[in-house]
Amino acid sequence: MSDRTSAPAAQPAVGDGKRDGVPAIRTVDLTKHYAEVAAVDSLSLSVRQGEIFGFLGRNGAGKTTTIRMLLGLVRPTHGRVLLFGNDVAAERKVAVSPVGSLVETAASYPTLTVRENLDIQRRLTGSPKASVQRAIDLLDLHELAQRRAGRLSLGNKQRLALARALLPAPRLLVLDEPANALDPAGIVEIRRLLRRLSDDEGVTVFVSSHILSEIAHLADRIAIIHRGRLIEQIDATELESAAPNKLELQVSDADRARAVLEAIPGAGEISRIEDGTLTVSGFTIRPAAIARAIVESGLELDALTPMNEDLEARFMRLTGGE
Amino acid sequence: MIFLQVLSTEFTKLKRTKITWALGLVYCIAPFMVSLMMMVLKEPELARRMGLIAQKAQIAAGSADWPTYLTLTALLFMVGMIVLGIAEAFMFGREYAEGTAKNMLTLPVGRGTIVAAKLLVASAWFLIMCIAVYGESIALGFLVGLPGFVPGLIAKNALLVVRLVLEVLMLGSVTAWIAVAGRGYLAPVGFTILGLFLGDLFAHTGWGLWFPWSIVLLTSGAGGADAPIPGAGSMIVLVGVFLACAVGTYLTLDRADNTQ
Repeated sequence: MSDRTSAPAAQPAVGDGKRDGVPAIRTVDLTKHYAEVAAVDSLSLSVRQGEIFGFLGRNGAGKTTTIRMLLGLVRPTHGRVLLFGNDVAAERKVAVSPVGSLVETAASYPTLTVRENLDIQRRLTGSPKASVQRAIDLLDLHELAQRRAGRLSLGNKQRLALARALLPAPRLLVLDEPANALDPAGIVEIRRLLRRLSDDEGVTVFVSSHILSEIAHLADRIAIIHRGRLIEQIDATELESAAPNKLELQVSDADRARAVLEAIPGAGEISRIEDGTLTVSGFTIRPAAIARAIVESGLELDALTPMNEDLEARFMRLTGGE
Repeated sequence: MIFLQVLSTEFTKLKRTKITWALGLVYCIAPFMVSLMMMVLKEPELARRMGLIAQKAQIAAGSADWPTYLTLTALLFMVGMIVLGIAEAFMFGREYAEGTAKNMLTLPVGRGTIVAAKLLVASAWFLIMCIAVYGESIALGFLVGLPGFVPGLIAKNALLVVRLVLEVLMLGSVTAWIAVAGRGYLAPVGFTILGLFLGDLFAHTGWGLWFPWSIVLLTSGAGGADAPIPGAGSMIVLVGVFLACAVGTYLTLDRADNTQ
C-alpha cells in the first residue's frame, strides 16, 4: 500500500493505527504561523503504532516546529495533535505521558552525574528504579554513570539524552536528529537499538534527520516536509521496489546511440553522456525495447543497468535541489 | 505525590549547584562583617593594634551595643532581596541557560506544579540561610561582648526579622517571572539589583509605602528614623505582587511557545 501524497493543500490524514486502530501520532491540519511566516502549514500526518516514521526536510522546513507542537512545547496556530488519541492541547499530561523525546540539542544538568540526571527523569515520569539501570545498559553508559554530565563529550551527551528519552518505557519516541554528534559506530548502534525497540517492544519511533541515508536505513515510512508543507509520504519498501526510472547504457559509440534513441518515441531523454555511458531517464517504453533498438542499429551494447531513484535523489527533486 | 517528586528533584538540583552554595557562603560571611564593625567600635585601640583600622582613622558609626548591632543585623535581611533574587533567577533561568527547559516542559507534570515546587524550594533555601545568618549574628554578638543586652530585645528584633524575611519572600516570584519571560538568569539578576536601587529611591518619596522594594527597605529601618512604617496596605501590595507574579510565571511557562 502506498501512502504517497503529492503536494496536498489540507491533506486528509493517511495510515491507520496498527495495534488498536488508534494512530500513535495524528496531526490534523496542523499549522503554526510566526507573524506572517507559516513555519508549518496544514500538516496532516498519521503515524501507525509500532512503526518507525522518518521525517525529512531541509533546514527551516518546519521539522522542529512540528516536533515541538507534537510535544506541547509550541501551541499550534490552527489544527490538532493527537497522541494515541489524546489531544495534546486539551490533555497535555495524559497525551505526553507515554512519550520519550529528544528535541534538537541534547541537554542535561551539568553539575549532576549521568545517573543523577536519569534518576531525576525517572522520578518525574513515575518510572521504576530499575529503569535507570536499563537505560544505562541500553545506551552503554556504564563507565560514565558517575561522571558529571557537564564533562561528557558531545557524543556521550547525546547518548545521555537518548537514555533520558527511554526512561518512561515509552510507547512513542519522538527524536529530533538523534544521530547528532555520534560517531559512525554510535550511529549504527542507535539505529539497531531503535529497530529493536520497534520490532520487539512495539515502540513507535518518530525520527527527524538531515542524514538521508540514516532515514533510508531505518524508517518504515518517510514523510518529506518542505516550507512547512507535507510534500510526500512514502513506504520505504515502495522506495526500494519502485520500477527503475533511469537506465545506464554502456555502448560502443555514445553519440550514435544518442541519435538512435532520440528517434524512438518513448525512449525518454538522454540526461548525460560520459565515457561511452549514456544515462536515459523519463522513458515510457520497456528497457528491453531500448536495448533492442541499440543492437539493431549495429552498435555494441556492453551493459544496461536499470537504476532506481534513491531517497537522496527523490528528496532533492522534491525539495527543489539539484 | 507527583508534587513531592518534583519538590525532591528541585532540591537535588539545588544542592548540587555551586552557585547556591557560594551565595549561601557569602551571605553567612555578612554577620562577621557587622560584628567586626561592632568590635572596632567597642575597642578602637585594640582594633588599631590588630591593624583592623588605620592609626588615624576616625570611627563614626554609632555605638557598640546590642540595640545598634541588632538594627544593623536587620539590614542583612533586607539585603536578602538580592540573595533570594539570585537564587530564584538561577532556579528558573538555568533551565533555559542550560537548555533543559524543553526536557522539563515535555514531562507529564503540570506546569503549575513546577512553578510551585521551584518557588517553594527557593523559599525554603532562603529561610534556612536566614535562620543560619540570624543564629550566627546572635552568637557573634555575645562573642564580641556587646553591652546593653535586655532579654526582650532579641525577641522583638526576631519578630522584625521574621517580617522582613516574609516580605522578601513575597518578591521572589517577580524574579521567577522575569527569568521565565527572559529565558535565562541575566535579566532577573539585573532586575533584582535594579529593584534594590529603585526601592531606595522610592523609599525617600511618598510612594515608598506602595512600592514593593521600598516596603522592605522601610521595614528594615534603612529609610531612617523619620521614615514611615509600612502597614497593612503595604502588606496587601506585597501579597498581591507575589500572587500576580506567580500566576504570571505559570502562564508564561504554560502559554508561551517554548522555542529555546
